[in-house]
Amino acid sequence: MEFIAILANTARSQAYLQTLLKENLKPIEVFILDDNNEKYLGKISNKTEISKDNKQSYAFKFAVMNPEEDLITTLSKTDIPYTIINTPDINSKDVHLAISKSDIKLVIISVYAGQILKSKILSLRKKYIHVHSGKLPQYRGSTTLYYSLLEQNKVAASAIIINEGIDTGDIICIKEFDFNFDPKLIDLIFDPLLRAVVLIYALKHLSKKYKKSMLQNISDGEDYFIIHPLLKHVAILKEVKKCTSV
Amino acid sequence: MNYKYSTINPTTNKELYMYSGYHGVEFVKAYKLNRNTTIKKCLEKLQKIKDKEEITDKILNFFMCDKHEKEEATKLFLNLLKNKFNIIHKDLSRLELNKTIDDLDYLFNKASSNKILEKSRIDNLVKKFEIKKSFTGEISALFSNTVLQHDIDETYHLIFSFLISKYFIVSNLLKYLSVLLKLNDLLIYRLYNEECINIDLLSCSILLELNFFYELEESTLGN
Repeated sequence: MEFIAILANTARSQAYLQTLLKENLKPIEVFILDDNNEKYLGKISNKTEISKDNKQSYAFKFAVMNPEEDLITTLSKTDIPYTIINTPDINSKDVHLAISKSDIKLVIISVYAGQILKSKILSLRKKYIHVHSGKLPQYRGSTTLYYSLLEQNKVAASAIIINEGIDTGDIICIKEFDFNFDPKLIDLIFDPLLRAVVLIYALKHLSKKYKKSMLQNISDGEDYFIIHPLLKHVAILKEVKKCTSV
Repeated sequence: MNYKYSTINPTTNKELYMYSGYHGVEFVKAYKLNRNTTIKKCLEKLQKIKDKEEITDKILNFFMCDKHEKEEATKLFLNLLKNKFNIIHKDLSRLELNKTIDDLDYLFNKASSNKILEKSRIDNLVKKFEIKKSFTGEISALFSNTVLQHDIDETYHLIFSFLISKYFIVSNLLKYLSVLLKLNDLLIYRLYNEECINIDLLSCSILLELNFFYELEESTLGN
């Protein structure tokens, strides 16, 4: 199965790329969105303190991530052609031009926080795969991993084909797990790994004949907005408490 | 540590809550200190206002209780809001308002008579608040008097706080507590940096939020 990847320079993209290669699923081409601005959320910068052991790699299920290994370093170990597009914006003219030149229909998307694909790029008749870290349609929107931990004691991710709504696209697959990870590393390590796991499931699902995606019923489920930091702390402290009581 | 979320204006800092850091139990302590200090400040202000003695005493009583009386605090909040609602509607009756204000009025009337609140309308208001942080921004040009405009804007935020609190009690969905926390952050920011006209209502809003949080803390963290 052939696919390309559009990757913002974020931890999520690092987890995607490193896991794809580990699973021997190589993109035909990679487009990296980066204008070298450190302010974008989700980037692992020099200031980000992830672990005392900076050389540590992380794993969840079969997903892997070495936060110290950036996208270019990973790609340099392979023969995958890549292009750095000097913009953070998935909806920019440069991105549109680059993708429209590709014949490949399947596109893995990992953008900077808060961005959605607008109608112009969606009109290119590609299938854009996005992995949302929440069980759909129950948990649509932002920071649903924390809400799910608080309300269900579970974490989940759903791979979808992007449409014009927010997390309303057709569902390729959903996977739900018990949470068993350092709760202080949810945003920059666990969330990317969780999504990477489900990305692999999604690609394997799509590679099978007669496997189709499921239509979402928009009237089902809940829309979530970014969780208040106090509730995020309660979610993390709850997991910390679980870890210390074992 | 400081609780920063009521010291930064969320209407001009759209990324305020994104990728918030983890600071352990110290953050929870800082939050409680922020809310308790704010209620004390409100009480100090209220004590200086004539005709507010009875309300001040009630708020003080709720505040001093180890476990705030949720039902009683909700009743007090509703009664104070009903009075305020009637007053501002004398000013608003001659104006053509927007759909959001109509929804807030409609839901408040339902809540006042203890009827079931429609989820879809509540969710529309949540979306409006999360994106715009204001319910009256689109009609601000209708007001020549900026104090009145501020009062109406604040009152509708407080009506929203009451509706969200009522809906959270029924649904127990944490997304509603999340929006209440953000709403009170905004109102506290305005108390310290701009102006707060309805101190008694703000106190009720914070008291209810604290009550919800203590219950969540106890059920989730066991302390």
